[in-house]
Amino acid sequence: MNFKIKKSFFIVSVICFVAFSSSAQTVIDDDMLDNIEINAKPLWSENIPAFASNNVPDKYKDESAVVFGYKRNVTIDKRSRAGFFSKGERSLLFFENVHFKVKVNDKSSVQTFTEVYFRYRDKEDGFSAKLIKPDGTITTISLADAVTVETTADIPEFYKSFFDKESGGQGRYFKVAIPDLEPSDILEYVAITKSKMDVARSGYIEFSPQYEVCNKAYPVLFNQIGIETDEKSFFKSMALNGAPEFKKENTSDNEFYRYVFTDTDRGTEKDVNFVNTFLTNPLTKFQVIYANKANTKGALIGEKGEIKTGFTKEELAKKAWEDYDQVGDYAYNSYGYTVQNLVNELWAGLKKLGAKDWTEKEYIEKAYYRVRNINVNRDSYLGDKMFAYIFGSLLFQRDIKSDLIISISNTTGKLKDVLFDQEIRYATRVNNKLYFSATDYSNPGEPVETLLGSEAYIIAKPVKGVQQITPFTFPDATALDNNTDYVFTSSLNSDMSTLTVSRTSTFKGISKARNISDALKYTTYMLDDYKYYGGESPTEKMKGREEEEYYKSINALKDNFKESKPIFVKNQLQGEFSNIVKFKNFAIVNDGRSLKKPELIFTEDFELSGMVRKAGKKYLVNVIGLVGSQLQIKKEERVRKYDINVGHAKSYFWTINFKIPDGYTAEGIKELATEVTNETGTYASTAEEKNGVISIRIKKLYKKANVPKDKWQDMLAFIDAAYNNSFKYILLKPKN
Amino acid sequence: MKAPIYIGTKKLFAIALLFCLAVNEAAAQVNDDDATNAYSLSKKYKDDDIMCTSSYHLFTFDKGKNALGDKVVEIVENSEFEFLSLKKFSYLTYPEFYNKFIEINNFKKAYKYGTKYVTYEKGGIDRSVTDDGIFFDDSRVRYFPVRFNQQGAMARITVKKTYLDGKYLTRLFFHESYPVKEQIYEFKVPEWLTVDFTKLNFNGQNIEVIEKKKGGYTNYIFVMKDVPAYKSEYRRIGRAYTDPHIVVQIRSFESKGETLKGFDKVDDVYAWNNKLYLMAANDKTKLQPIVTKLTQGKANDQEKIKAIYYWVQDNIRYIAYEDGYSGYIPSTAQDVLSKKYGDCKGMANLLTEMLKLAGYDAHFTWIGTKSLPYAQSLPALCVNNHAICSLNFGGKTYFLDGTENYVPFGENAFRIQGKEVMIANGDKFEIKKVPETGAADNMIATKADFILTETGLKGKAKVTLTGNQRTDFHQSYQTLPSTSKKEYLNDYLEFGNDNMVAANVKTSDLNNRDLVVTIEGDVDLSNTVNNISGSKYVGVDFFPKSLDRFIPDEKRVEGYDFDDVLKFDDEITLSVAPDKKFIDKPDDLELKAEGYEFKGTYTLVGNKMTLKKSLSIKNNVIAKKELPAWKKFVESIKEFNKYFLSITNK
Repeated sequence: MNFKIKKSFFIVSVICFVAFSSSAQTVIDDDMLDNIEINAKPLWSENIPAFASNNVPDKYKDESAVVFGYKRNVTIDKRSRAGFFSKGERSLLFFENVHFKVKVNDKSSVQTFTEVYFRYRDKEDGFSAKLIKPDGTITTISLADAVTVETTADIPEFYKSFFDKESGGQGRYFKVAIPDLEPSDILEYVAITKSKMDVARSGYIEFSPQYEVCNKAYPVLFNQIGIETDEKSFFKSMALNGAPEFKKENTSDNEFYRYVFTDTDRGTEKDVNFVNTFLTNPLTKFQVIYANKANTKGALIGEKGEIKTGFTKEELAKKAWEDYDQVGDYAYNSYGYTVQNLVNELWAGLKKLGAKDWTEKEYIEKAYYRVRNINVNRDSYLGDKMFAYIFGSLLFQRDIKSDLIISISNTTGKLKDVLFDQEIRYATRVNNKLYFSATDYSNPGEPVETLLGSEAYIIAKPVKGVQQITPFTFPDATALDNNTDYVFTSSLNSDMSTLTVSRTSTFKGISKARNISDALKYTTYMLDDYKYYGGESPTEKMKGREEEEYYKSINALKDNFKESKPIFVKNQLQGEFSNIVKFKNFAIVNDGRSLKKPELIFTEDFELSGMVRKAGKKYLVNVIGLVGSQLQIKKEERVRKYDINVGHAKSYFWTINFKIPDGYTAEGIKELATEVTNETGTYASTAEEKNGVISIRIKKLYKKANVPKDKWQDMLAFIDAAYNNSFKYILLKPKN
Repeated sequence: MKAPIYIGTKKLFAIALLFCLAVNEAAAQVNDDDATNAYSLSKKYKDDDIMCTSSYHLFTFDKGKNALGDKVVEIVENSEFEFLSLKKFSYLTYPEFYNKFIEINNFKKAYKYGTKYVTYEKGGIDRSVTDDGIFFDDSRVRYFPVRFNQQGAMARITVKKTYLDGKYLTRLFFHESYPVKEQIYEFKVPEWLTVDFTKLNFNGQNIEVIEKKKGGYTNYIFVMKDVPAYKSEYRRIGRAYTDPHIVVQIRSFESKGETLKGFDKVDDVYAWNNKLYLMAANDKTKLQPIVTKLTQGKANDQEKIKAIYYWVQDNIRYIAYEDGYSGYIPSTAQDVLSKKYGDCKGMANLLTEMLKLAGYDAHFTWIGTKSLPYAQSLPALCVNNHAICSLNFGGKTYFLDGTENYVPFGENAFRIQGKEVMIANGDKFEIKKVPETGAADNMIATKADFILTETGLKGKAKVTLTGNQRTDFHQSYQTLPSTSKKEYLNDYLEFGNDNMVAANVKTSDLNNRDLVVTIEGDVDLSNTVNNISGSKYVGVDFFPKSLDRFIPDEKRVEGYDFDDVLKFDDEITLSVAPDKKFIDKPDDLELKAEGYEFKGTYTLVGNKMTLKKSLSIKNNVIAKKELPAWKKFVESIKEFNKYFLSITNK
């Protein structure tokens, strides 16, 4: 369920949907058919100009399909204006209606819209669809052949009601194949659904944040979202990257508010490299919050009846602190065990291990590793707010002062772009060192990719209504901070066809974070994770049979890993080199999970085919191809529309040593040398032969995470150089 | 398929820890014999986590009535399976499938505690198993997750199922997705019933067949021991071609002194099929306007037939309803016409009726696609899984498949080629065979002429597609979004090579499916010329990378099915400037086998080197015994492909 319930108010009542019958797929019945068409009828009489036209603008005539109109309206009403539900005002009602009209121009879009889906769970649910032929003939699509859809997961997103998406409910849906649908036809449908939620014991409900990306799979001529709320609900919205904003519209009822987003004539966008949709494409985000208590003031919800379009530094800091402060009361598990209980238990455990006697530095590190150990044993990670709370609380127990820092992900925007609680990120600072939420693999102080260079505030607990807020910026990383270093030793097998390769890979910084999960997959790093905080072995308190069973389990786990790892590595290598690989060995040198050895280092031994060509008695070997496939920017992407976002600065080094086979000389070595360097990046390659071994040294640097689009040609220069160089061969000539 | 489901490693670790915190009762009571047995079997079945130590199915027969009111034979299957965990942690999902012809009466899972089984769960989890390609059907499954956390732990599944109409118990395979120590099918056949068990792919298999008579029953028992797990493999030959199985034929039965027919002969199968076919109440009058519209103005009969056939291909969407008997009864022709969608039966029915209305000798026809190896002479419902239309025209029979978009009149999709058909003709029927095509009928011919430049190759390329390759092209191209079509055509000329760029692409008339498809244009290939020590080295052999996927590894159990026969025919020329010369050329390569062959030659004339290369896949199947030779064949082609031409100054 996606509802986020404020623990400080009441526990929300559980929404129980009657499980949909698990009998075989069934057809729609006559009663439903009678209701559903009648209920939908009023929607057809809405006078909306966007739905009046059947003509596609010339500029979209070659598109697969064109959406004339997509109108969604959601009314959320606690005043319960509908008779039966109004008793005691226990329910929040959702009235939704959708109007959609699309022209399908080709067989592809005919297939996409070959069937329509609709909900019929409430007697007031309605649906009606029409087919408009090129000659203007209009046919109402019969729903008599509709059949049930067993799992709502199968339903395309835009046919699901907002409420069902929110609740994850299994509303009863049907699908019907559209008769007589052909290219050049227009499909138009209207749908209305009514849902209710028992909020008698819920004081505050945040509905999921919505991100409406304006560009869709087909051009959309008119896209409108209307949100209507009563006086119990709040609404906030923010338009980014040139998207339209929600606007407040007048209603006939003073205690009823309406907010409308309207986007028109929106074309499609191509999927290209180095674009972050959130930072580039027009999108409007919005959220509805239901709150029936006055003391919600101060939360990130704005004022009733007004669109809140952003938050001040003070509002953000206050909200972030309030949220952080409440983490201790959160349920950690379903047995009434709170996060604060967990903190207390962790502190007690650390004390037993001698935490009071550890130096401050030692304590901070071990506290971090103790919380990391929790993540190691969980299916999902603690969020960064909870991590910061637990870690900060453990520091507090030892009277170690720490700062709480709030920020926003660099993939989401700047602090001014924060609209939802979920967009606030948390970190901890102790003695000028930053601590971010732990993963299975992270060490204290290691950076997080999405916070590199992000704007932040250091916030303190408000005192007498005054909160200290200090602007801060998370450090960015240089290309060398995030380094991948490969060292190859390779030689040609006696069959003069395959390469024997040993590779040592070393990863630092974000490059480590990105690769460590795969590197440590099917390894037993988790078994001795307790050692990092000086903890006890799980077997410490086990006796006899229990201990025996533990070791049996561990051995089974190891057996499983032993079988799985070679297959996994082989598949990874085959993907990397696009050639057949014979796996020989994999070994971890440093698992990168300790401060003493923070780099991830592992070795792989394998045989690689497809790298050797023959020319008479000579051989050509694509030794430099051991760098693996390099990014190619194709013709259609060489003119840049948007600024460039490569995620983070990074560097790659390759050292490739290739032994020249006995009886052969090598040529084409100097041809491997090249260098392109500019302010956006570098590609440099040198090669030499020494004692029968060719050594190629290559470096490739993406110097900046963000590059303006007018520097695209600079980027292409080094990206192209890397790509083109990877196809070069060295020539092996027989000496005789 | 009873496929095991594996769990993630992190979760596995969590389970290990959880286990240590609360030792599972069932696991704690693994008896020593089972533990020893599991340990020993785990050495034998290294790739399997679970095996079935005992699999017993008992089929008994009774009389009943089907949903159409016909007297039929009901079959009750009582089964019991015992599973043994070969590893400490193992998991499988045990499924039982059912639909409107099959009821599950009883379904239980029990775990073994010491020496006794204790029932743990009943009924199973119920889900629809409608395939992605089916709009609506009655296929469902009930399943049990079976999870073990001890080597030697055991579980027992018991099932009672009823086949409400014995015709729909068709095939029984011995192989499962896990190894089975002993797979037993026992049929307790009463005297009032005549039943046959057709044994397929039994040769070379260790299957014992026992017949016992007792108390008015004859028991037929089929026992296969040490059955290895069926492993899913890339392009594996269909299991009906390779794996032993039994086809059950209810031939006849006595009821109240009357002998009632089952499927004694193929005539009986036809009678049943035709009965269901005739239940589609076609109203030809509703087809007349469209038939008239399509045929008017057409020059001759063939044009009229094509107009109707192609209209059905192009305008009727494939949407399948398979629900009980209605899964076998075609939708009426007028219904398919008005909705413009239908499944194979509905399309075949519409096509047949439209052609008949236009005055042609068309017939509804049943066929088994290539996934089924059975001849029509086998009187069983598993023989056919598809419906088409047969047309007698100009002294020849044509097979028209409405579901196969863009197949030209007179050609047939590979999946039905060589298959026998059952053609409806009133009370009678005919068995005919769909003609087969050879590799040379289905060509991908590539002609490219390159000129060597300082850093790359420039030239023109042309791809010609015939037969099924042409149809495959249309089936992909015509259903692409209009915005993607240009890119798709360029891809055809770029040979899957990222360094090739095609431009000025022209095609044959792609609106005419009867024509051979040609795609041609200018091509520019970069990153292909290596300039080393004053010479140039360049490859012009664009090896079909997809062949890599057909190199069997050491674990490959069964042969390949390409699901096609075809021929690649390449002619690539490379011209160099007058001041340059080719230093050498590779040896020719010619390889011939019964089902496939290759020929590659380089010829130098003046300043032009020509590579001619042909690869024919004449037989769609590479049998298991042919795998070593096939592997050698592919590796030889790869070796030939490795050649770079050397070019130097004169």
